[in-house]
Amino acid sequence: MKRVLLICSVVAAFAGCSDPQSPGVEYMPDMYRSPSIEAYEEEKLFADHSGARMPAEGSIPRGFMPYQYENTTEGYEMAGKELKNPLPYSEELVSEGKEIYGKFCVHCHGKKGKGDGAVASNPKWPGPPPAYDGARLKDLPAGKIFHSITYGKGLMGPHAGQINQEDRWKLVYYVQTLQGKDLKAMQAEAGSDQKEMEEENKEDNNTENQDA
Amino acid sequence: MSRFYSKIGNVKVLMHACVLSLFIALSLQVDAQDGKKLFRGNCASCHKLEGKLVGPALSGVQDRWDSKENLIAWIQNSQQYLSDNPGDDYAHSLYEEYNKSVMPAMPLDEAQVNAILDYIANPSAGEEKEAGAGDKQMVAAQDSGEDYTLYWLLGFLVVLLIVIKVLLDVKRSVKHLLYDVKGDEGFEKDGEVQDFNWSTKEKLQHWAGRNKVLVALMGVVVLVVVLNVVWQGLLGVGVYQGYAPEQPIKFSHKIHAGDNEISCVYCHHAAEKGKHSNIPSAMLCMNCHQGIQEGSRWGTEEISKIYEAVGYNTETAEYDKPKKPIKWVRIHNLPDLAYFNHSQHVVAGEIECQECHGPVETYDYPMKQYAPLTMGWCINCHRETEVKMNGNDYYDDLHAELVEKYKEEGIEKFTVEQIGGLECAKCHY
Ligand code: HEC
Ligand code: HEC
Ligand code: HEC
Ligand code: HEC
Ligand code: HEC
Ligand code: HEC
Repeated sequence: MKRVLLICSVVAAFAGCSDPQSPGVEYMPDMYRSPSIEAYEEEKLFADHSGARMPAEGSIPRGFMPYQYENTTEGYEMAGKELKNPLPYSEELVSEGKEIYGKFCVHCHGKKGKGDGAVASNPKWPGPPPAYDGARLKDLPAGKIFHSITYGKGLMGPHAGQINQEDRWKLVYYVQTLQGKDLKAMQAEAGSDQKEMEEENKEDNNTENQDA
Repeated sequence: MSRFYSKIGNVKVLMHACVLSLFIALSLQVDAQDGKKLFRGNCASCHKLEGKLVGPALSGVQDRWDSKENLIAWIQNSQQYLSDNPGDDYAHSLYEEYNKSVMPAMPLDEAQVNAILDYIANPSAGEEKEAGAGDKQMVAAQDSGEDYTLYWLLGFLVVLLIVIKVLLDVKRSVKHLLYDVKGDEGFEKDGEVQDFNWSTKEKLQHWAGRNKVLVALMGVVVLVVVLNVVWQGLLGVGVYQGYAPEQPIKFSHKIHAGDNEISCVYCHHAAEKGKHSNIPSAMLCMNCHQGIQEGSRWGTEEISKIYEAVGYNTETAEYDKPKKPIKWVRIHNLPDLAYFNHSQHVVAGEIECQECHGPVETYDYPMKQYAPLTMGWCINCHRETEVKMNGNDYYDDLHAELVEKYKEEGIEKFTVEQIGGLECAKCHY
């Protein structure tokens, strides 16, 4: 009887111990932990011991179109001039953009894009981003918005790794509504007389570049 | 206005002039006080007073420029200034040095720029002190939040021991008293201790012999308790619930997802796209921590570990140091024999992260595993959870089919079980 009790308590001590530093006992883990590399596993095969590998340099996923403009001031200006939203405007896209905005942007830029999100108002954050409908960003063209989300701008980091291109274009639509743009009217105009619109745009952008 | 003045006469005009000038003086003062606010609102996202951020440190900037007019013109519209003054080598070399990153034109008038420059020249010492005090308060609040349960328990135990000791002493005294008064007789009647020379073991045996039923009962109770502990222990084999290992960086979900309202998918963005929910790369941390270089709890100690990981140099504001990846300790880890997919649950199933991971936004460092992640846990949920099919285009076709199939039973709502969520091959293959 004594011995049984002793064994029982030893087993209990081992199995039941709840040390938060240890995941606990695994019994015969042969099929739990297979030899293939799992996500985020350490792998001694590679020099840096990281199981997660980068794709070979220059490789492009199927069906993926890399972003054409470089991360320079020239690239930024060119994108502003040339890039157009490839997604045809619809209200659905704007509301999808709003949803994405709520996940990825709202904590800095704030609900209405006034630059009053929780992180931006944290005293440790150097300075809030400018309001979308303020003097600095009110007339930012779609291409520049896309460019800035892709590569980041100043203190804002790049978001290309988190948000794919299509979602970024949806975001552009939503940011434009926060800028106070009447997208429907813009779209209608573009549809009715595209060529004229483009020329106008060019002029607009030229004047813009001078003070941007 | 003029008619008004002419009617009332010169004295009043003078008075009005006084009031007006006072008003102007006051408004100027407001501007000076607003210097800090204007700086934070317009410039702080690129400039710090000390140390580089996106642009150069601004402390002592007036000494670097030969005239204040030029400086003001630069601040109002730097690109304009550059094209107007092709001869200003300093400004042009600065522009080149910062890789031609453009400082945007500022919609500020001269008074406002002056207020900012005043603030830069003399960032009032009083306010800095205030901020420092605030930080300390935060730290103090943190400290008092420490876990004192252990100390309480120990204290309680000590008190308990003292009380027991006193009671025993009292008992012995009373016994001696009785002995003195009644002599040996008194004890025999009580049936307690007959001989003070018995060893403890003998006393115990004697007592047990007189209380067989009680002893048997106690034995059963002890056995049940021990068996229960062993059973629970065995059930816990291979279950990580409550696992909360130390991490290389004291990353707190409460600070990020709670206090600063960052949504889970900002960092765990793959949860909506694929099987695994990614752990964010250190570069993603830099989206915010390029700006936030000091925390209120651990100062620069923890955040500087991010800089080490990505090779960021806070002096030059560039990534020019060797990189050293962070080795997070993995918490959740299903055995390979089971398949689990995040996007299936989060996007198609529209289940909140919190249902499986608990109120993560309240978890401070370290992160822990909330659910047991046993097969029973999965299956229970699949039995009970209704699939959210309405307004979920992922299920449009399937829903129509299922309604057709279950027409006789008249079922409109379906649990995961009914769409095959209990089939072994859904999770094991
Ligand atoms: C870490 C906080 C942060 C997050 C998250 C963030 N931003 Fe920003 N954003 C900023 C700051 C700061 C600026 C000001 C940059 C500057 O001009 O120095 C900015 C500027 C911008 C600009 C103007 C860029 C330009 O060309 O002048 C746009 C557009 C923008 N953000 C959109 C977004 C969108 C869309 C998202 C969500 C995907 C987002 N931001 C997420 C901080 C953030
Ligand atoms: C979007 C980022 C950004 C913002 C916002 C910004 N600056 Fe700048 N600033 C820069 C950059 C970058 C430079 C370096 C020169 C260049 O590349 O144009 C600079 C340079 C300067 C200089 C010259 C510094 C020197 O060492 O001589 C001054 C002065 C200055 N900024 C003041 C301001 C003030 C005042 C504000 C706010 C009203 C402001 N800046 C807002 C980016 C910014
Ligand atoms: C600022 C980025 C960030 C945000 C926002 C964030 N997390 Fe995390 N999360 C991390 C990092 C970094 C880790 C790895 C370190 C750790 O385990 O503490 C992690 C770990 C986890 C883990 C454990 C992973 C493992 O090792 O098994 C879970 C579960 C998790 N997060 C869920 C959430 C949920 C749910 C939310 C939203 C309430 C959330 N996270 C918000 C960055 C973030
Ligand atoms: C969206 C912005 C954002 C992102 C992304 C982010 N953080 Fe933070 N982090 C913050 C804010 C805001 C604070 C709070 C600063 C304060 O008030 O003390 C903070 C605080 C911290 C602190 C506590 C410092 C202290 O002493 O209090 C650590 C450590 C930290 N972050 C690590 C990380 C790590 C590691 C990552 C990447 C997985 C990360 N952060 C990503 C915004 C962010
Ligand atoms: C249906 C339950 C469920 C939901 C909902 C869920 N998770 Fe998980 N999560 C799990 C399980 C199970 C694992 C373990 C997966 C493994 O080991 O393969 C896990 C693992 C993780 C991990 C560790 C990395 C990995 O994938 O192995 C992170 C981080 C995480 N979840 C974050 C999240 C976030 C963020 C959300 C919300 C967007 C979320 N989870 C929603 C059940 C869930
Ligand atoms: C909803 C998903 C799901 C379904 C359906 C499911 N399982 Fe499991 N099963 C799991 C998970 C998750 C585990 C791992 C539990 C753990 O780690 O403790 C597991 C573990 C097991 C184990 C234990 C392996 C071991 O050594 O620990 C067996 C045996 C098993 N399942 C058999 C079955 C059979 C038979 C069926 C069909 C009747 C089935 N499972 C259906 C999710 C599922």
